[in-house]
Amino acid sequence: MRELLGHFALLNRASGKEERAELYSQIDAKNLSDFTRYWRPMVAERLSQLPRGATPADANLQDWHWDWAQKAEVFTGRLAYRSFALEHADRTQGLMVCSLVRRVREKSRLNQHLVYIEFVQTAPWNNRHYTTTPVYKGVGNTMVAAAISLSLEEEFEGRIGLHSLPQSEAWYREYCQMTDLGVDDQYQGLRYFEMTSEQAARFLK
Amino acid sequence: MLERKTMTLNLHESEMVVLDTLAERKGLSKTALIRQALRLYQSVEERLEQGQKFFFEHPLSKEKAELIVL
Amino acid sequence: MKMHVDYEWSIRKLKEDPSDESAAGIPLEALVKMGPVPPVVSRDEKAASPGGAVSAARAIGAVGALGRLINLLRRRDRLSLEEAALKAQVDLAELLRIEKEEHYKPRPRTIVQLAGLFKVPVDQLSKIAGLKIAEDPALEQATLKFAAHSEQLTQLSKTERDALNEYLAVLTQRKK
Repeated sequence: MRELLGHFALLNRASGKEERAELYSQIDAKNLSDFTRYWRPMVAERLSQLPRGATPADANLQDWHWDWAQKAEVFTGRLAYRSFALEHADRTQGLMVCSLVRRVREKSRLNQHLVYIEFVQTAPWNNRHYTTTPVYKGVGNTMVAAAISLSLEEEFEGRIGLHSLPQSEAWYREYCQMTDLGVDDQYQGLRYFEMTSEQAARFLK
Repeated sequence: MLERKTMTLNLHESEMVVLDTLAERKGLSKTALIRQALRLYQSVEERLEQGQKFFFEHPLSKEKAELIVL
Repeated sequence: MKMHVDYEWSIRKLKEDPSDESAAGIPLEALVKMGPVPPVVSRDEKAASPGGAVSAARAIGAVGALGRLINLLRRRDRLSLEEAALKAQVDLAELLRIEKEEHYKPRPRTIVQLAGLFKVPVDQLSKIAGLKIAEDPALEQATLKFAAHSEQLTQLSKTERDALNEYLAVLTQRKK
C-alpha cells in the first residue's frame, strides 16, 4: 500500500526558490500514466532530433529490453522490490525502483545485504540531456536518501548499490562519495557503485 | 507508517540455532532475516512456477549444480 | 517506511549539490523505446527467457542448435573462445554460455555481433537464438537436420563440415 513518506525540497531553477515535493512509497498508476504522457514524449522528441549515429544502436536498446524483461517483476508487487515516486506540481518528478535481495560486492562487507537501486531517473524536463532549461533540481538527493533510509529500516545499515549511467558517474563518485567498484561487463558495461554504512551516515548528515 | 501484524513462530531447537546463527552472521534481527527469507522464497517460487530452474554456478569451472527445491 | 532525513536536510543538500545528475540502472531512451511501462513480458518472452528458453527454441525445432552452430563456426574459423569473443567484441562468459547451455537465450547485441563475425544473416541467427519467434518450417527442418548431424569434436570432421556448409547455405538463401 502506498504511503506519503514526507515532503522534500526541490529547487525551482528559474525562480531560485525551494518548492515542496511529496515522496511516496510506491509507484502507482498515476506515475506510470505521467511517464507515458509527459516523460516519454520529451525523450522521444529529443531522440528524433539527434543526428543519426548519436543514439545507441537498436541492438543495444534491445539489449536493455532483454535486461529489463528480467526486471518486469519489479512492477508486480513482489516483496523483493520497493518503488518510490517524487511528485510536485501535479507531475511525477522522479521514479526509483529498489531491490532488497542483492548482496554487497565490496570486499570488506562481501555478501552482506544492501538495497540495490535497479533504476532511478528524474523527469526529462529536469534533465540537461533532454532540455536546455531544466526545471527542478534535487530529485537525486531525495531518492538516494530514500534508498539509504530503506536500507536502514531493513537493518542493512544504510548500504546501497547501483549501476550508474555514464553522465552520473561523477555525481555518485564525488558528490555522493560512493565507492567505485569499476565497470561491470555483466551489465551493459555500466560502472557499479556502492555506499558503505559509514558513507551513508555522512550523506544523511 | 503502514500497519504491521505480529505472529508467533514455532520452531524446533535446531531451526532456532540456524536462525540465531544466520541472523548474527548477517547482522540482522531474527525478524529481518525471516522477512528476507520470505522475499527470496517468493522470488524463487514464482520462477519455478514459470518452469525455470534454480542453479548455483561454480565461480571457476562454471559448472552448475541444481538446487534441490523443497 | 521511515525516512531518516527531513525537509530541512533537503534544503541544505540543494546548496551542496553541484549537478543533481543522478541517473542509474537504465537510460530513459531505452525505457521509452521498449514500449509500455510497466514492461509487458509476453508469454513468448517469458518462455524464451534465459531460464526457460525451451518453448522459443522449440519454435525453430532444436534446442541447442545455436550453441552447436556457433561452436562449429568458431572452430571452422580456427578461433579460440577468447579470440572469437575479442573479434566479435562480446562478453567471453556469454559466448561460453551460448555454446555450453542449451537453453540460454543470448543478448540481442551479442547475436548481431556474432552474425557479423561469422557472416551469417542476423535475422536467421536471431530466430535460432529464440530472440524472434516466427513460423518458418523450412528453417526448422534445416535446423533439426543440422542438430542431428553435428557433434562436439575438437576438429571439424568432414561430416561436420558438410553439415555446417549445408546449413549455412540454407541460412544465407533465406535472407529477408
